[in-house]
Amino acid sequence: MKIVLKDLTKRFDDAVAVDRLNLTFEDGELTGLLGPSGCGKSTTLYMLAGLENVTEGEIWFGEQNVTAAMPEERNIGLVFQNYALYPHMTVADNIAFPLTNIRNPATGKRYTREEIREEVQRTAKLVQIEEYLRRKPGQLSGGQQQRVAIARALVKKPKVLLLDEPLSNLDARLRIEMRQEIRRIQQETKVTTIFVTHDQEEAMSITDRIVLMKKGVVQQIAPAHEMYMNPCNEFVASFLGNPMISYLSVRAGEGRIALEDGTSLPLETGLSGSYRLGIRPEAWVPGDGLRVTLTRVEQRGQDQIIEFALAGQKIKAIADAATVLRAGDSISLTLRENRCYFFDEKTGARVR
Amino acid sequence: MTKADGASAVRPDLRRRRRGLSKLEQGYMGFFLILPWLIGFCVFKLYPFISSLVYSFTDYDLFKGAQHFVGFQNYIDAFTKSKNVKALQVTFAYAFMTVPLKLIFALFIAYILNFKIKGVGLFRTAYYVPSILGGSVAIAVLWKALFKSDGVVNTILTMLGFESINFLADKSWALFIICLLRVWQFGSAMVLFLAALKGVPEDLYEAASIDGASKARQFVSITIPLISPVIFYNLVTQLVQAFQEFNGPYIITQGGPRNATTLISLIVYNTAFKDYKVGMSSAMAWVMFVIVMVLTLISFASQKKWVYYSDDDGRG
Repeated sequence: MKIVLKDLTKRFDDAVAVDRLNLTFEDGELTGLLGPSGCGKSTTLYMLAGLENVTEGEIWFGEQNVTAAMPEERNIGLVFQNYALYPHMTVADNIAFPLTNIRNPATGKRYTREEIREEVQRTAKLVQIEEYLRRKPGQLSGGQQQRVAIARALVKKPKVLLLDEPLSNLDARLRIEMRQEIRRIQQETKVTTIFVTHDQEEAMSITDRIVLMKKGVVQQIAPAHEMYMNPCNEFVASFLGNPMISYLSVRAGEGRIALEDGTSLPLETGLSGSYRLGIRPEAWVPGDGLRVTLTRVEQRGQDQIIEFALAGQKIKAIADAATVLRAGDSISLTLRENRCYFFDEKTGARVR
Repeated sequence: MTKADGASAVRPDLRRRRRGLSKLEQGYMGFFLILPWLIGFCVFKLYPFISSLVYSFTDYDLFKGAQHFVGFQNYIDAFTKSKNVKALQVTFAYAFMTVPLKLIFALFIAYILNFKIKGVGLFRTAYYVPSILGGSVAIAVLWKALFKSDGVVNTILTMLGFESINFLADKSWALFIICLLRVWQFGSAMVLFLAALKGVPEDLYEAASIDGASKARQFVSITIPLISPVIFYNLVTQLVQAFQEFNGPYIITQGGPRNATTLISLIVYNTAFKDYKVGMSSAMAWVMFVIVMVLTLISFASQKKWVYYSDDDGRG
């Protein structure tokens, strides 16, 4: 089901948490709501769930305006950050709980005990927790609890699945496993899914599209690769990518750019004037160009992160792992033009 | 030779003390420190406890002392003499009326006071006041003034055009009025419920509303199980207290009319201090003790069925 937000706004007293959000979540897509804490992504999710009132604007689920609808009227599944499983119920009872409150759309009557058992089995199988159905949530690991939470959210076949920072309580290895699981489950069920996270890697790895927010305002909406390759402003460029993009203040013109310390590099830009130049770490490649002295090297196994100073700025780059580099080494690098972005000095908007 | 050495040479005991207390001495010191409590416990609890058990098998008289060992005769009387049997019945009726009523009422008020409304703190205090005053004789006197034949309640009833009711002289009303006094003192149970309600995580209610559960369903399926340890605690303490109730019936009705409000505690008191039969009185007290203990044990045994403790997930 397609979800449309029209001028969605949320104000807490004087603070604007979400500012005139206009968004469309396509049917069957997995969308990541990404942004730093306090950017309004969770507030947006809770407004979608109906747990937070809308100050202004509208929420449309398909042809239906649900702005004022109660959570239970929206037919959504929500996975909470801390799962919010019912601690006194078994896993099976947790998953069955939503079914005990609604009518079976197939029969129009309340679910029978047998139907509930079947549905619980089916959903437990989907999230692979069949062997834990008799346990209580307190006896499960974080990852298993998360699966139960997803099963509970999915058992009534909701039109929308909402996930609020679902991976933040898991350890690093489990997080990677579970995000693949979320992707798999989403693709099997084809449910329209909205996934809130502050972790760019998480958002980039499994979503169809990313909505990047800052202070209640959408910065850019694009698939992960597109957003990484074509950031629309400095904030987006900074938010995506690890190691982070590095910045220099430059003057551009006549096929060259001049740094603040007078260093000049050949770079055809077609621009002239002062800009902020963002350079992705992978833009630097070995070659007969700029000679730099490394100030820091961080081994990552598959490659190494190197750091050097340029015109007084700290620059990070990635070097391949073939030769082990050390701080103090002097190497020669050139700049790949297609990983360099020019931003307006004042607004931060992308110029080129 | 230093000064300290000189002193220890003369007074070896001093040197030892300076090193601190030995293990044994520490033990004595511990006992010494709890001695005030220990003496109080032995004199006012343990001694009467044991001696009443002994008296209950004798014909101990308040003035003549124990003359004969009578075996289980007092206990047989406790369950056969009509006055005593009636007191047992009344006590059970009293306990089974007040405890559920009080728990339900306390939970209901706690539930309401848990809403975020303006001035809720004031209400919380106001509702707790009866519990502070409750046990006192003064409130029992006030209760009597409210419900006596020409009391406040009847004045209001006649003003509204109803017939006045002789609450304290009517057999079924009298016990109910006594019960009401106890139910009215729901404050302490309510405060515990309120704390328990606040302990239920808000996100469980959010999850339940997403899951389509109505407010009533949320209350039954989430609130009740999660506050069940406090329900259990209140149940047991209220049960024990109900069986020990004395002030209310003693002051308001003196057990009347026709023993309709004579609880066991009143029988215990009257038998000892009006009939001077301390032996018989002790036996009744022990009967009451055993009843309360059995009910408490039953409650504890029932926990497995309905009380949820978060620390023993699934193992209980």
